[in-house]
Amino acid sequence: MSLIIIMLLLLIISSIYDIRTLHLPVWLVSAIILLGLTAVIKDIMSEGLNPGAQTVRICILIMTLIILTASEKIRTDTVGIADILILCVICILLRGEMLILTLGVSFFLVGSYSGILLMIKKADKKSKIAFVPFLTLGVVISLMICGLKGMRWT
Amino acid sequence: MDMIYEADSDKTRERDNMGGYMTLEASVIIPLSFCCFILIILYTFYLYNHLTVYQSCYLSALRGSQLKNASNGAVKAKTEKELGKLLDEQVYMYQLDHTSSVTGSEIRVSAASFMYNLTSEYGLYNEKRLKSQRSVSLKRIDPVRYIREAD
Repeated sequence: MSLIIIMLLLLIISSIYDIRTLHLPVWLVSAIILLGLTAVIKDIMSEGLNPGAQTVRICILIMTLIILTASEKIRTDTVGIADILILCVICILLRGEMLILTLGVSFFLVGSYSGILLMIKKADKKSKIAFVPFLTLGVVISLMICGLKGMRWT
Repeated sequence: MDMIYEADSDKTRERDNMGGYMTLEASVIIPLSFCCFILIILYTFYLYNHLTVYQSCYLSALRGSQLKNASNGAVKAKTEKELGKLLDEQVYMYQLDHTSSVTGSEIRVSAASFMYNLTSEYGLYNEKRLKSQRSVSLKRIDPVRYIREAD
């Protein structure tokens, strides 16, 4: 329960930073990654090594580390590196059904918002918007719908 | 001087912060590609189950039809046992429903699978929607009973 509160708190703080500056401080992203690691360790300690699920999570972690180390070289202006890292942590933390719901809701919200902005010509296609607030909304909505059983570590 | 200061502060900001943005173009394209991937994954589950159900129906009917000089009840029991075994081993993430009927000349097996595991347990998804149903009928290889029933 405490991990959920910490995750929501970190996501809300990230959203505020993201809306204000379109950037996230390194300490905040590191805290979210640490939270993901803590959840995985807690999961392994309580359930033991489960080949299927653990392999997927370890693959996601390795992918995250590769992105982190290669971020300077592969950086593009399309999606921010903090968004990718937070998405990876969310993929580690949530169960399959809840993950699909969270990503679906947040992508639907961000897609609708961008579509409206493009339609009323308030912004062009290269304009940047904050993504973390939509992700936070997705997590909150899926938590309200699915409850705590969608989390890996409750 | 101001310009240099601005450049320095930009560098500091770049070093201490990470980009948390997405361009409008990407935020329209990524949801579409995400939906496509999810639909493809769901469709492959559906297709796999549809084919498995068909194959299992056929195999169980065939195994039932190979029982010689057995009563209709015995053939039906054998067919349903084989069908249950085949479907339990192979069908993934689906809820099953199957029926079979046996006469002297024919074995008819039908099975259906409904998706249940993705989001239906949270009440978001109508489990009867992705229904895959197949039925198979085979002639029984039991000439004596066939001739008696034909008469």
